[in-house]
Amino acid sequence: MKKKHVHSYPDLFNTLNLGLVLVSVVLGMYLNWRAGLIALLVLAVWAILFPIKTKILVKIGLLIIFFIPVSQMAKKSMFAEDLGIVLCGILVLLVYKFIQNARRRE
Amino acid sequence: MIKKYILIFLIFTAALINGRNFDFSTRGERELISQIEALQKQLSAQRQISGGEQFTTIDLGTETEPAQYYRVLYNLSSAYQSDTGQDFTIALKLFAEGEYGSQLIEELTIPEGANMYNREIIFKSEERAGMLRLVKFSDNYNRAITISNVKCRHLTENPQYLRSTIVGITNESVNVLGGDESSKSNYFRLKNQVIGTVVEPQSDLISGVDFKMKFAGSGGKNNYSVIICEVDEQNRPMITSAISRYYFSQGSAQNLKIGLSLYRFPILARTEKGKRYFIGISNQGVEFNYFNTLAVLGGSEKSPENNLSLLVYDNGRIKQIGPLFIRVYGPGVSDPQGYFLSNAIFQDVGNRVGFYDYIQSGRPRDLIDISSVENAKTSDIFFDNNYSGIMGNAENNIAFIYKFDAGFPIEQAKVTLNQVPAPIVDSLIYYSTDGITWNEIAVEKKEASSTGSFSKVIDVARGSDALYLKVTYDQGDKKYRSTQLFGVQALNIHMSLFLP
Repeated sequence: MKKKHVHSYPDLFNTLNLGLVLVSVVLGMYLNWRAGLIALLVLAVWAILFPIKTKILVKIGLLIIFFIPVSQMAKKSMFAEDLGIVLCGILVLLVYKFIQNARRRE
Repeated sequence: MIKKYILIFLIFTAALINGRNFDFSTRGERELISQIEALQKQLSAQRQISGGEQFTTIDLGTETEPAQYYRVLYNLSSAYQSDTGQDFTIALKLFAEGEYGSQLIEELTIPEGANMYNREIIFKSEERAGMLRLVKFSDNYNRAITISNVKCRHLTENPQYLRSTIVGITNESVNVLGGDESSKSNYFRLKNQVIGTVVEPQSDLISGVDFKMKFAGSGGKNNYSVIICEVDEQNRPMITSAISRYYFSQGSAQNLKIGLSLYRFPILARTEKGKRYFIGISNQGVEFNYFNTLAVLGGSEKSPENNLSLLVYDNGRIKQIGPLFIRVYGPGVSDPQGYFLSNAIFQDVGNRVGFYDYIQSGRPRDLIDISSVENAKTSDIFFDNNYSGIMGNAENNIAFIYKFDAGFPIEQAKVTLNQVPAPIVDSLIYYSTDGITWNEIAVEKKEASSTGSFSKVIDVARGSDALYLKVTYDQGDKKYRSTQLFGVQALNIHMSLFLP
């Protein structure tokens, strides 16, 4: 017998959250923003909906720090600038997480 | 739980409100803009006494010898401070300055808000001097004074035996004053609105307009425009058939700022004395919202006499507003017959040698110097304030022609100009001494990054008093360019003349 699929609440919220991330991409494209700025908006929305582990943020940040000079050398300065914008967002998130962790420890 | 959704809703709302106004240029574009600005500054060679400063110095371009005669021509402008309620004049002194001292060569006064072009000083040099020092007296309001385009020439004869110098435009002065107050901000709150006032110009030409404005936030994306149009019997502006427009954004308006909230727009329009015109600012085509918009400043009293300041809505509805702050400028000319071009200068330097110089100003009034157009109406040729040059549509073999009438036999002429940068179609340049037989001046084709600047020396057979220059476009280049326009920038003609 075929199992009837029933949506649980967490499932519904996950779909809604992913939908909101998608809306942020569409919104950025509608406003004709450049890639870096869209990525920053997506990052902000994602960080609010699905808390990202500090370790992952640090890894992404380090990767970006590595890729900025590489893309400069490859004469992709616009891409490097976009990466810079995202890096700024990540740094802000890291500072926020650092303060949050310190409070928790207290 | 609900908190984070509220936060996201707020982020999306903020992005929708302000997001249209993010306009990032790439680093390359920013570098190019700063290079162009530096070049323009260098070319225009202007110095300013600003704020609390008392003097400035500017290069004479040559070093004077003792006991010799020199002629100096220069432009001078003063900012309008306003809010003082009265018009002032500012006293100035000019010195020729050398290593061992300075010599007073002129004392003058300039009304605030005035532009003077090619003012002339003739002096006998006492010392070697290479600089000009401009000193300001009697100004309690710290108005900015700008000196520019200083040209110094050695005279080989006593100046009293020389012919007098002729210049095109000598000054631009206020010929219509609007309200003096700027206490009320008239904001653009809806799309397709026009805020302006009905005026009666006192000259045949409007060469500039001052408005007081305040940008809110980013001001909105895309361009506002200053428009000049005729009015009907009921003083209703005929906006759709504007006779002149000048486009600006918040960024480009910074170059037009001459005082606190005060902007001078170099708009050009031919007008009839005694006829009424509407001059205003339109937000047609601007993407804006409540937080990122523009306000035109004026007084709050609605009904003083002769006040016809209006807010025009999209549907044609008109609302009277308090008197706007406005100044309308008209040019003064030294040659009443008007054959002399606005940017031209004739000088006699002695020993039967004369010079005729034409230096394009990069302002809309350059348009009035075009003597005729081929295969087009005069309105098909226009001034483009993005490129600061004269442009035309690259179609139907359109051409525009200048006639440089020196009045004396020309011996040699040097033509210098810039092609308008790509993606504009390449221009072809021809010269003639009779306006019938045309010779092409070979112009280098411009590459993506260059302006195609070039100069050419032409030996003119003695006997001709005029030089004609025709600008058209390269048919073969049309398919390689995305913008189907052509034109010239920074046109500069230097002719040596034989004075009988």
